Amino acid sequence: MSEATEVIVFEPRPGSGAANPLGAVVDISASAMFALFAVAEQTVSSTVSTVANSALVNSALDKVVPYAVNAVIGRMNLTEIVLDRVDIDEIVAQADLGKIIDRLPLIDLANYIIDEIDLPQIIRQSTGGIATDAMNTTRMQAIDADDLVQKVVDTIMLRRKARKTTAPGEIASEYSGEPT
Amino acid sequence: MTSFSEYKRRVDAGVPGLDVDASVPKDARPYQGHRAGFVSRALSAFIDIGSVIALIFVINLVIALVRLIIERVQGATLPQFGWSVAGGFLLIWLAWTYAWGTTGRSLGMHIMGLRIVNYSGRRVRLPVAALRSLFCVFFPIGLIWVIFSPANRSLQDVVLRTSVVHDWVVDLPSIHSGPPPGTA
Repeated sequence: MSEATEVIVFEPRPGSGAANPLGAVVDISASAMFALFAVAEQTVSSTVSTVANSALVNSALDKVVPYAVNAVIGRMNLTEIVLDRVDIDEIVAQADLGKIIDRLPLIDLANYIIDEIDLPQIIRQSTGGIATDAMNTTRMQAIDADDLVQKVVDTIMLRRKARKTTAPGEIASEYSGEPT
Repeated sequence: MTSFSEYKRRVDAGVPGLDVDASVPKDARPYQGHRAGFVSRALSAFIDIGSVIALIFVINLVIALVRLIIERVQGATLPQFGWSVAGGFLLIWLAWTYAWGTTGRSLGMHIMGLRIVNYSGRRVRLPVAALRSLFCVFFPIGLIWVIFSPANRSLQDVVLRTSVVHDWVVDLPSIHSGPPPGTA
């Protein structure tokens, strides 16, 4: 590997040495100083670049930089900065809503809304006749009476465990859940 | 109000959402598939017995009307009482056997949202239905055991391994003969 050789030439300024020897010495010294500084700067910069590119420094930076960045970000209120400086409406306007909708669980959402507003109950109320209402009411009242009778009898019989009323078959597992 | 995330978690955890029949009111859903208590079952039996009594009464009325027209005899005579009771027993035995062996529900059970299932949760077979019906007709007091049973079972249920469950959704019975020719 060839190394560049630098040659420093000290040359007095023309017409200064003969007239003032001291001035010539000062000139030469100054030139020598500049030259030495130049060499030192080059040496330092090449050394720094060599060190900076080394694997050791890279791995050290990989560890230090995230900490530093986290520390900096931790001291900043990013939400406020984004709200102040970012035009969210513009971003939303440019977003591809189709892709967002594709990612949404639409059926689950629809089921949730139907369940939350109890759409079947609304349909029943608007379409069901008096007979259906009376029948459902009788059934519910009978279930209430069943629960009451069970509670009284179980209390009298000092029975602590709840009755095991789950019957074999698929119906109970479809509606899975114990009576309240 | 439940949030969507909570609803999703609930559904993912296996709690039924809308996959169950929505025609059943929310309050009644936890009871579906569970054995019914004494009051529901007694009401159902009363409806059946009441409808049979009404039917016997109507039959007597028709007979009295026919006799009035043909034989000019006024009023339903009392000697028919014994026949009426016997006819009532026979009628209710036949009605319960047919209903339990086919759809699993009698008229009263339809109204009260109940159904009879066997030990595996399926429809009971006709011989079992006939036996259970006979048991119920001649030993109706067996129903009292529901009050004390830790599993809501009557004496008939214990002996014949059957259960009377809440099932508000009525499935249409299938047609065994198949579709009419030319429509398939």
